[in-house]
Amino acid sequence: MSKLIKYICFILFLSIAPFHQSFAQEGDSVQKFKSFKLSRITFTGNGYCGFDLELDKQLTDTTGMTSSSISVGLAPILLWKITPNLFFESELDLMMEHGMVTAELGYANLTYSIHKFGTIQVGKFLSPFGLFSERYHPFWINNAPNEPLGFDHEGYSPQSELGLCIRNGTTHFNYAVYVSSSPLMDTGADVVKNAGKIVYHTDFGTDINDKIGFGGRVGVLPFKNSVLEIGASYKWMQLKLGDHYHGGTVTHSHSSGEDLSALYIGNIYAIDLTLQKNLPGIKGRIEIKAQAQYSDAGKNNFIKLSPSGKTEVAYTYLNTTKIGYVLFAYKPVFANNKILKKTGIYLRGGYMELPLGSLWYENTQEVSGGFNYSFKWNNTLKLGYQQILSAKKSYTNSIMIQWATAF
Amino acid sequence: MGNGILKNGKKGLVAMAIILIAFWLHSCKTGEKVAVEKSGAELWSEQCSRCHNMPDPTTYSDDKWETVSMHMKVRANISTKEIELIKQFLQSANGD
Ligand code: HEC
Repeated sequence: MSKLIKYICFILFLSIAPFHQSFAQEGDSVQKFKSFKLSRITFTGNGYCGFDLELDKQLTDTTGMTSSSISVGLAPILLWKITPNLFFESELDLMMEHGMVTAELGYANLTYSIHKFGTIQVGKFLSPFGLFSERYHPFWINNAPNEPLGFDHEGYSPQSELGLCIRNGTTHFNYAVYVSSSPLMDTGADVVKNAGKIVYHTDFGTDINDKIGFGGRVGVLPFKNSVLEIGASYKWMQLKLGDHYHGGTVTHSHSSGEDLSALYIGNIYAIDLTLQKNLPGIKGRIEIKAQAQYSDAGKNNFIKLSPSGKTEVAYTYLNTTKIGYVLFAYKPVFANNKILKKTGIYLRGGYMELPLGSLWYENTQEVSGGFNYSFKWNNTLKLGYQQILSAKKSYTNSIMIQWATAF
Repeated sequence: MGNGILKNGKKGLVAMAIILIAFWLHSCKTGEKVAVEKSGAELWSEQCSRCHNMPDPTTYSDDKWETVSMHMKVRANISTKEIELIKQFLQSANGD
């Protein structure tokens, strides 16, 4: 552990080294920002409301099950520019789905910005792992009315970090590196099926893993006008088994035990690509967003009930997950017609491969597409269709309507 | 145990150290020359449409742009010089 601390200090030292040249250039902005002003506290936020109609079908069967759901979300954001260089941001996520209301602290952190060096962020911040969590997840930004497979709230991609992050960017290159609390690995105590899932979201009252992890992302923008960004991310985690549903100690329903003190090492990697370009020739703008990731948390041991339901049996599986998506969107922003220029279409393909042998195993692919209408830059109505095909030879068709806004 | 765990993470930490050194050298050498040549309006249309629709300057007052610009500087890793130019443009074009 002392070695790890040494490495972290080394990285911090490297980052802090350019400080001396930064301070000199900051005099000007400090001059303009002498007095404290309450107006530098700002409330923004975003919200959405959607309706989803689902039809589940077996490929071999002609009958199916239809279900519908309404989801509503509101995320008030408080921003405070305390001094020219010190900034506080926080977001509360309120969600209602299937009649259940949940509240979660999206983020709350303090950022110190130093001219050339970049920024140091401390607290809970959105994970700069890949781009979806940090940049594309708010529904008013996401072209589609739902998340790609595996990138949802309960999904398999890091969403937020509790720790310290250093980041910087120039026109062609940017990076973010962080040291943070590792996620917990689900014991399966609450929902037996979930044993071994890495829990990337933290609700109020969630246990926090005291084992640290670290990660980072580098982004390269090869062209001057920032049309293309390619990124690579890595995160290293010390996964402790924990119950993320109830605060306090782990409550375990199994009589004979898996080793609750086990510590699994997790590695997760991602590559991402974003391309957005105005093409007056086709009177519009195209966007391509893609992310692919792979995680490996080693061989995990758990206990499940035997098929008879009377005895408990041990099982082991290799905890690897693969998820990814590609989204293509076209917006005819240069069309002459006032209504047409506010429209857009999107097409998305994605996959999700969860560990074979786990009780949460799934191997699914999705194809989805839809139509958008933006009343304003921050106010969009979406109509989407999605088909999810699973290896269990069943498929789900959904039709979704959603309105999303930022304010 | 500690060493076993470190073996995996070591490569990642070394990679990050290399990235930081490369970035530091890069920013010392080239500074923000390219960005400074562009106007606030140009940067706004290039940078502020990378992740979402391009925000309309009239949406917010000067004070609100002051804070929201900082929010976006951090979120989008935009350099201090670039965000300053964008903010000045937004504040001049919002009709306040
Ligand atoms: C790297 C992607 C990215 C870029 C580039 C970007 N934004 Fe944003 N922007 C976001 C995200 C993500 C949010 C949602 C913030 C949240 O919900 O936490 C957002 C939110 C906003 C909001 C809503 C209010 C708020 O603060 O949440 C405004 C206004 C805004 N951005 C303006 C801008 C401006 C002006 C620029 C250009 C300097 C810009 N954005 C560039 C990602 C980006």
